[in-house]
Amino acid sequence: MKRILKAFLVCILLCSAALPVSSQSPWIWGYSVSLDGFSSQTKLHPQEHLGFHLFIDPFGKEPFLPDISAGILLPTGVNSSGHIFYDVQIGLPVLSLDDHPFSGLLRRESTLIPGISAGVMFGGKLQGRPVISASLEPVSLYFGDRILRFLGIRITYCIKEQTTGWGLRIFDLSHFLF
Amino acid sequence: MSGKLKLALVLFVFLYCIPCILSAYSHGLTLGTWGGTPDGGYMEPGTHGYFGGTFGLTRRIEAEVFSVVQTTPEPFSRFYGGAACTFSLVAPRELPFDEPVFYLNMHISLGYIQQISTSFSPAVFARFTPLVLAGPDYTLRERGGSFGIIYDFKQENFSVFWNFFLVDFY
Repeated sequence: MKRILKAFLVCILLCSAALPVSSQSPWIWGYSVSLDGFSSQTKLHPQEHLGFHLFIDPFGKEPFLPDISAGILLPTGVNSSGHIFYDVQIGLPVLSLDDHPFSGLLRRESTLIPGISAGVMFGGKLQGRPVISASLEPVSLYFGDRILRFLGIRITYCIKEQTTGWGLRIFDLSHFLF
Repeated sequence: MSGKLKLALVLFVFLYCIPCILSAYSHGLTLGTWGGTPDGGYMEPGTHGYFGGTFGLTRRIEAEVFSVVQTTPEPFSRFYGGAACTFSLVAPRELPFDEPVFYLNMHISLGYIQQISTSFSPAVFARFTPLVLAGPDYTLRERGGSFGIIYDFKQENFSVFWNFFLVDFY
């Protein structure tokens, strides 16, 4: 667990170090709000989880340039802080399509940037049994100052119990602030 | 095709398709979410997808037919169907002769919902939507932060529910 945390801290530091030399994107930092659900195999609360994350995207939204997000997930309507846990992820867009099937449905110009991500969830009910995850985000729409993601699929693996599960990110709205 | 699916299809045709053809106002398709309190709520704890259609009845009133399906923790284990009538509080949703409408709005809705997968569980609800952006004239409408109360006739109790977002495509 400590190794994983150290690895993520190193990645965050490297990305932060790259900030002064990055000039590709005027937008670098932001926040995101998401809605997640998990399968019963993950042994998390069955209720929908509201996520609040901060993210850093120093390289812009080009394929294979990473971004990092860290935040919390909490089940809605559950009156117990023991179910809140932390979530750290590295995301990687794999494509960038200006002409995509959803452009006719949207008011603003957008780019479809389907991506993958990997991360770790820990703390709260996951205390002592951290879960690593790999996600596929097929519908990810980039509007320049915000990103909308729908129906992201997440595969989870509990290192200690050696069990797999899955989750679904219904939506994720990421908004650049700086 | 199962009997319940046939019934849902017939209801969709009669409650949405035919009114859309007859209505002089615009119609659209809706995607969104439905959530509620985990203890004593109308639905089982989990995430739920919301699919539906809206069509205008007057300048300010619209009708909505929808279905709700559980997506986690047990996908497609429960289906719900319902209908609602929505009133635009701030400004008309649509005006004749391509007159522009106000971009911001608020909605209040009254509706009926029932489970159609495992048991007959009827309920009525009232919903307030504090943030409505755009409308039929803008191709897309976003409804955010909807919340309301629902009365379950079977359990004879009130509970709170919410729709984090609803997006209408026209």
